[in-house]
Amino acid sequence: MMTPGLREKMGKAAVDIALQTGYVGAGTVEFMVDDTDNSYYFLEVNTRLQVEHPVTELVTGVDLVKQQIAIAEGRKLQLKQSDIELNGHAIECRICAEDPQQNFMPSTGVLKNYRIPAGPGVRVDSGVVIFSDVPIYYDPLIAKLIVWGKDRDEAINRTKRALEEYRVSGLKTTIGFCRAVMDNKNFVAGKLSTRFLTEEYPDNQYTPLSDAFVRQAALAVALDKFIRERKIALGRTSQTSAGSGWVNYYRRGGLRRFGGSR
Amino acid sequence: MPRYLVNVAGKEFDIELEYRSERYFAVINGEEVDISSFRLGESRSILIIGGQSLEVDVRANGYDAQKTVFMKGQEITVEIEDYHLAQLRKTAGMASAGAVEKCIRAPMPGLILEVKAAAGDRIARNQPVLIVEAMKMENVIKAPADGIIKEIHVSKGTSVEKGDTLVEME
Repeated sequence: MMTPGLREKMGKAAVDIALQTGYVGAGTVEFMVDDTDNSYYFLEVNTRLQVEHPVTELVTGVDLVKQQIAIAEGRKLQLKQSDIELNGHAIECRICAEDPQQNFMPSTGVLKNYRIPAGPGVRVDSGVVIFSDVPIYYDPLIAKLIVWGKDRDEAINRTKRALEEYRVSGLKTTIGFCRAVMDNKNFVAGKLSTRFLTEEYPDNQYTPLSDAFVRQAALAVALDKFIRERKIALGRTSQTSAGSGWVNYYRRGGLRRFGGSR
Repeated sequence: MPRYLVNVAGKEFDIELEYRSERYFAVINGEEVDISSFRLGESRSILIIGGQSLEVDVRANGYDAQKTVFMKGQEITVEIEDYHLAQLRKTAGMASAGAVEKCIRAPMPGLILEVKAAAGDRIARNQPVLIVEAMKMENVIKAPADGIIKEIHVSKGTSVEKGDTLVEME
């Protein structure tokens, strides 16, 4: 949908709006695109940073918050339009304390587990830590996962990986839903609209536990139990197993350093 | 051969497992599957099931007959028992030690706006039972499992605290 030509025209319209109104500061001009003929329509101007501003930061390399502060201090903008280059593709997932199985009902509680993803191109802007209490008083957004890739395919694949690395317990989140969207054919093909949820999930089952998924989970748990019981039967508990070769290598090195033998 | 009865999201699986010539073989509901497993840690492993690789994290959650599984970004509770013990238990008419609680508790503090079912009603999983107002929104509370409503402890206008038992089911 978004072609370089359309981006150019839309960008120019946004800049014109800012110039005409004498706008100073960070802001976002929103448009809606009609996918039948790629015509676009002005929606609104948000005179602030958007929740999605890290996407812009990752593809342009510009720290928008730093720029915003510099402008507020009355300093001259350090960037020209021609300095802005787009590089690669970025995707942001809103990690919300909501239950996709219950029509995104807010979910509150204490985070009993909270491990976040990491790795190349992965950025997490988190508002919580492990044992945080997520109360009813605020917005359900607890974190944002923003993933960069050299193209959209790489960004989607890295997003899948990152979402799978999350370990969150204690409340329901949108992580599983975001992961399922990364496999959605129309999402992958870039066929997106404001009707995406109602069209793709007509029965409000946002994270359907597919037959294959449920079967794999059953096999995983049975195999886990089988391997544990087998280890006990063979007298190999985790304490007596060989463990990691790296650990043993460094342990030997350590003993040598303190005058011990191999 | 070890044989287990596994319950996930209301679906039951009869799984037999065997280890021979460095591989695992499973028979799941009568169908043979070969599985490779590479353990990455105490709870994490990579499984290859029927040629497809999958990372799973199977964690103890305090119940002997229950595990918490993290898979594809989802957290899911799985019940597991020895198949033969499960048959004995069923014959004796007892509930599974890891059975999902069949009652509806308030997920948040709020005000009951509507009660959409009555005691004695037979309801299906995900069927709307109550509407609770909280966070300035109307939230539909659905049945966690198929069952019959035993008792409803609230009515229109009741204000509830998080964790209060709203509806008992059987």
